[in-house]
Amino acid sequence: MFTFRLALRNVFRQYGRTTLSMVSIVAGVFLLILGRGLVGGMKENIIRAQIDTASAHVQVQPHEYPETGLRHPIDKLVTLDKKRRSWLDANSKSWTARLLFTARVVHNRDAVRARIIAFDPATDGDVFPRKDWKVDGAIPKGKDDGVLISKGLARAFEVKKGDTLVFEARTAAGAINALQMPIAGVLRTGNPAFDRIGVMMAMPAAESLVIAEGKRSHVSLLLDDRNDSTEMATRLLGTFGKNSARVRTWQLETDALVKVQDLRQAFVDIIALALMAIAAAGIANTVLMAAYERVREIGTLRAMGMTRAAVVRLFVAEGTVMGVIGSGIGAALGGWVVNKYSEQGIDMSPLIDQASSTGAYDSIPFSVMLYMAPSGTAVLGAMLFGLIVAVLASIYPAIVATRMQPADAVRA
Amino acid sequence: MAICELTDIKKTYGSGAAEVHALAGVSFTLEPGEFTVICGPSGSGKTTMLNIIGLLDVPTSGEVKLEGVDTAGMKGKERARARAKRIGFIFQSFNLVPVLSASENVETALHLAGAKGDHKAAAKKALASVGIGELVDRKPAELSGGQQQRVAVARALVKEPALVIADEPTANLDSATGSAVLELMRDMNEQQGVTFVFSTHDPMVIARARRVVTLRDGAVHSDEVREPPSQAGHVEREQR
Repeated sequence: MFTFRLALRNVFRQYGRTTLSMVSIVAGVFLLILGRGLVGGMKENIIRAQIDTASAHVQVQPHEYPETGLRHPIDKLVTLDKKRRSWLDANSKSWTARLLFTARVVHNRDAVRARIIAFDPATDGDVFPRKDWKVDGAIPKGKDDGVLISKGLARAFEVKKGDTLVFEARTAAGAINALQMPIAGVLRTGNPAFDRIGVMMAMPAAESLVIAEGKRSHVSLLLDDRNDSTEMATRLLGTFGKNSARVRTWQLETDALVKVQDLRQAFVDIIALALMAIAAAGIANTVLMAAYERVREIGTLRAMGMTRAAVVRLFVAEGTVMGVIGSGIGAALGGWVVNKYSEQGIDMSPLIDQASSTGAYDSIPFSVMLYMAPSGTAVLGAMLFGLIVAVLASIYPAIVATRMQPADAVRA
Repeated sequence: MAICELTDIKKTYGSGAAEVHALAGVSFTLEPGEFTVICGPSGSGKTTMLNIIGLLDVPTSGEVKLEGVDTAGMKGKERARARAKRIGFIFQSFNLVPVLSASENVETALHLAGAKGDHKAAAKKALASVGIGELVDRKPAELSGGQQQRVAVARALVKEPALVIADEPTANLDSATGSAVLELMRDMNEQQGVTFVFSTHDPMVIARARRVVTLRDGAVHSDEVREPPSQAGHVEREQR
């Protein structure tokens, strides 16, 4: 108690110097927590966007379906008979089937190849939530309701809601077919894979264009617990047959992206560690200067019977006080910011727009809103780390202080 | 039993051509209740001798006994414990801890000595006994030099040590304040039997001592015992 009281008083002897030293530890702890919250949030965002806009928890696709690119063959599709539909009803929280194909979209003299996502108006919204969608117009429900086109496509053709587009595509049987449809609205999902060249078409309209006869390219399921997806994948393979279907889980789809986020996390951690090293140097300097300034005082205390170990304890206690205060403030600030943006979210639209325009991130789904990932472990860990750094940084000055000979120090 | 016994103490600093013999075979015994001054010109070895008596330094050769115990085999921690419990220090520059109040400075001595009981009450009593009972909460910067030295006296005495070592205690005080502080220490010596040993140049202190040991070139030049203590110091100082 005596040591702590003395340490506390000593720390605030030089307010300015102590504050400067503590600022670096505040910054280090803050950045550590913020970095973890941000990268953790991005990781969860990618997973959530993948689940919400593309793969759901588990997805059944035709066997040997292309994994990337704009190829969406419709010659070999998944059959959804009554038995399979019943099985899906019984074994999932909700499910829906989509049909992806490519079509040549024509407007006046311009034409572009686009990715068409045909959806079931009755069930699609149950699996792929639309809360992050920004729709300028109405979501089509039937054959004659038109299509939703992506912002990228609207920009490319310079069209708007109410204009008309022509869709040319091959039917499942290989014949060429075309359909003229009005634009029901312009949609931005936050998924660059759609937002650049995507079209959302109600299934009845798609059926009349490609005549898939009830077959689908993607059957997507939501489960009660997303962590059950691997087990469900095995069961789905049993139901749909290994030779005609393959099953992809959200973990499989996001694996590479999550690894990239882990790498980002490591970079952020390195920056935070560098800041911590600066903080350590600052604290060591503060405590060392305090030791040199208090030579006579330390000598007096040693003369009065303070042991070397007690002197070390005193200086380490001073470092600890700075560590506790600095880490505490850093953790409080970091925790507050991460918590605030975990609820409020950060609008990533400008960044996504930029990514969409370059096409560099076409295959990376990303929600418009980024919610930071609050973590009690990250806050406690960063705080503890800051404290340990402060304590370690005060050991060298403490050793310097014990080297002072009391006989000389009292007369310094 | 003697409080302190030095036998043929030698202390050498440096080596080769730079070798300095600070003490060259000093023998000295300090009995309980003494009010002794060690004086001598600069470089005579006063400070070195006080450091050795106070267990702040170790001799190159010779024997040091504190209350009959040979200190030669004592390790740093044991010497610190002996200083904490049995020796009080009063310094020329007071050496109070600036961030602690007068009371807390005195409590520090009790804490380091491992004393039991109510430290706050004991510190308050000690400060009252040196005449500054109303200044317990003041920080050193809020006290005059004389008041600071009184706190230092209280700090040295509160743990009831066997010996108080005072290194030039009046050097930084004006004559009236120095005289008052010295009077206080002499009262403690006479009324409570506290043993004091001083290092000083101050004729006032020398005049009031019961025993004056003069060092010259690291050796005891003279060892004069006076009885009763002289009052001439006042006169001599005023005449200067």
